[in-house]
Amino acid sequence: MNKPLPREARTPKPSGAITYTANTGANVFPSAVMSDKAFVRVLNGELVIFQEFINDDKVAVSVGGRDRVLPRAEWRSLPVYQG
Amino acid sequence: MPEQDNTPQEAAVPVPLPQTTALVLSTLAELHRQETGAEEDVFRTLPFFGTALGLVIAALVYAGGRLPRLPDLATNRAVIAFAVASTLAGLAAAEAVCVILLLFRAVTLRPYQRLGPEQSLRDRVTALQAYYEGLGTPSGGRDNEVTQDMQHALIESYAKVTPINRAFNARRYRWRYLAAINLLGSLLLAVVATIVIFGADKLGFLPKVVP
Repeated sequence: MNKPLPREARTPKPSGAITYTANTGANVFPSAVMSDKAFVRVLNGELVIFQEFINDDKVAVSVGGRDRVLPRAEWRSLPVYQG
Repeated sequence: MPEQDNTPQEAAVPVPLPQTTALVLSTLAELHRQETGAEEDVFRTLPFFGTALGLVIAALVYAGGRLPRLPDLATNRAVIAFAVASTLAGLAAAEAVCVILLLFRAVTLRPYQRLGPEQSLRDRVTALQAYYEGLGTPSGGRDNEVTQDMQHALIESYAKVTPINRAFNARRYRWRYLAAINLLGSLLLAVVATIVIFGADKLGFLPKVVP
């Protein structure tokens, strides 16, 4: 049996999800008109995906895969995803 | 309609329940596989759209060939038949263009999420081995600990990426749905235009087209 390292010598236990982004699809028209970029934004490091306009004030989005409702102004203020 | 999400975002750290962990892991892996396969669904339906658009184009070519020139319209009936048929054919053509634009939207590039890459998974195993070695865990029990930790890391990864991919797929399906609606509209308009021209031609409303 190995002798345990002293606590201060130990590295933290590795944890968390192991993921990466794979841009898949056809980049036929990379212009703002045909691109879906404006519909994917970033909030606190998570992807925010536009779903639909609910009314003049609210937008349905998916934040990190969870359904959320954001004020339109907040949605517009989010930076567009640059993948 | 999505509701405001006020639930806590962080899940509790799972306790080691081998059978439950294996069940959850296999279920999440299957859900992830389904979403990954669904990414290609829109591409698989492109030949169907192409075939249907071919029918629309054929109908429009027929309509265009049968419609007389404007100066040849001598009667009011001929003018009305011409106006109705050409309007229907024009709308069918416009909807066909919409179908193509909507399909471009459906297949456009999106930042889908994936597990890995493989080297990162391997690096995590190595890091966990080093961690348990540092703890002094016997080599026999180390494999069990690393396996459990990797299972939890994979569960966390699946839980993170699958809903995002599902949201992207929902958008893809939304664009494809709109394309399908426009396609059906285009088909209907083209068929009606063809019927109008055919009927008007048989009733003698339209003058004979001189090639």
